[in-house]
Order: sequence, then C-alpha cells, then structure tokens
Amino acid sequence: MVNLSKISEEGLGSQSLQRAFDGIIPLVAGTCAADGTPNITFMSQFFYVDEQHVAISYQFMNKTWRNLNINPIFTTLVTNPDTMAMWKLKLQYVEEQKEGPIFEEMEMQLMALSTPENINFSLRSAVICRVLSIENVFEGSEMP
Amino acid sequence: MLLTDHQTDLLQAHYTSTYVGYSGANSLTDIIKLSGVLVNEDRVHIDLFVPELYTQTFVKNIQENVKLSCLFTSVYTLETYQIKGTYLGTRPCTAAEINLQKAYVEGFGQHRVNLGMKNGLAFVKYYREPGIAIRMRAEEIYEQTPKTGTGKKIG
Repeated sequence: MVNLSKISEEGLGSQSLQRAFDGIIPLVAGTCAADGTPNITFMSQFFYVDEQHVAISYQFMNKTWRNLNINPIFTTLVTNPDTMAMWKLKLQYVEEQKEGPIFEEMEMQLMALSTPENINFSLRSAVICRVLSIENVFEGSEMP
Repeated sequence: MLLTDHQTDLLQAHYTSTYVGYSGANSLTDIIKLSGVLVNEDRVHIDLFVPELYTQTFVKNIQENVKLSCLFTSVYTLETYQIKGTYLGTRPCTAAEINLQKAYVEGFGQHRVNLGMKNGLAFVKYYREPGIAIRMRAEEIYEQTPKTGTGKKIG
C-alpha cells in the first residue's frame, strides 16, 4: 500500500501506472449502495489531474452515481496494457465538473475512441476524485 | 433467476473478463479479478475461482456482508452483464478446477494478444496456487454493456 504522501513519486506519477489510465483496458469501479449491495462496472476513462487527484468519466453509471452520493469512497482496479500489472486505487469522490479544461480534455479523448458503429462515448461529466491509497495487486511482467 | 445459455457461455468463455465485488461493514466495495468461473448445471449457483493470495479483504468483508456482485464482459464486443447475489461459502479448488483456471488465464492472455497487447500472456502469472472457489447464488442480472440506457435489470 502506498501512503498518500508518497503518491507523487511512487504512485500516480509513475509511468507504469499512468499507462494504465489510457483506457486500453477499461478500469473497473466498485461502489456500495445504502443497503450494502456492491456494484461493479466498467469505465472507459481515467484522467490524471494532479499528484493527489484523478478524474473518471461519467457516461453510463447511473447506479454508480447514486452510490457515490451515498458512499463517496470507492475502489477502482486499473491494468497496464503493456505489462498486465494491476493496481487498486481507493478514491474519494470530490466533485462533478460539466465544463472546464479537465472536462474538455476528457471529452476530446473519448470522441477519439468513438466510431459510428461502435459504442457511444459521449461524456456527461468529469468526476473528480481524491486518491486515498494505491496498491499494486499484480506486478505483471515487462515486455519480452 | 436462471442464467440463460448465452449468459452462461459468455461467463465461462476464455475471452471474457470477470470480476467479483464485495463490501464490508464500512460500505467500501473491493474488487478481485477472477481466474475462472464455472456455472452449475442448475444455472443458479456459480463458482468463482480466485487465487487465495488476492483474498485478504474478502475473508474479512464476507463475514460482515454476504452480498456479492459478479461483472463479466467480452473483451471483443464489450457485451457486459452484472450478476448480483449471495455468498454461500468457500472451499479449496479441486484438481479439475485448477486445470480450468490454468486454461482460462492462458486463453484470456492469448485473447489480449489478439487484441494487440503483445505482452498479454503475462496474465498467466496472475494465477497462483492455492486457489479458492467462492460459491455464489445468482439472484439478479443487469445488462451493463456501455451504451445509453444500460443498467436495466433483465433477470
């Protein structure tokens, strides 16, 4: 487990983890409903904001959104597509942004992923989250 | 609820990415990537396979909350479903289940290679022994393919 104070040098700032944010392998987010029922879903985008914050894309996550407004601390699982390394990030929902530079950058990246016959990648908002902890679950392996 | 033939086939396929979610008394949901799944003939009971190495929080949380979710998606089409249900127990994996998991992680890694991830077979190392089987009773299923209006309960 990486302490918050060390996130910038060992966690969010690492190239290997940031590669996992590219969306090639969708991240998985787990939230909890008021009655304790877990809800897990895929999200297509994870965006580095600063040393202690990330943004996730709000597209199709109705249940996740309801859960975040009840239990704002949640877990995400991200995978580096080059090494298959996996990390769990414990996040705390901070705010929703429907405009501004972070939203616009995320929207542009999602539009690049869209194709006419493919999934609709329109963005409703950028969900800004504080990173509480980072845990390397699986180290993967380097490219041969 | 009963899983359909299609849902069962997708859940057990090597090209399907599978996860289990569980929450403790602190209302924090944790996630484990699975190393295999087997649907019982009754189409209600499901065995979720996972290396014991990754189950530290599961062991604690499941004593506080027996609700489970299982997410599964085709890595090619992103057709996705989430099963919600109840934890029934854990046990060590049998020899046949160990072989099932070894075949799954190798097959899944190869499908990632097919998708252009040159090092996809590194996923084979995700599997570690000993493995455990988590038995779950499926009670609800939701469509979760990423598209407008997704999240509908379908069973």
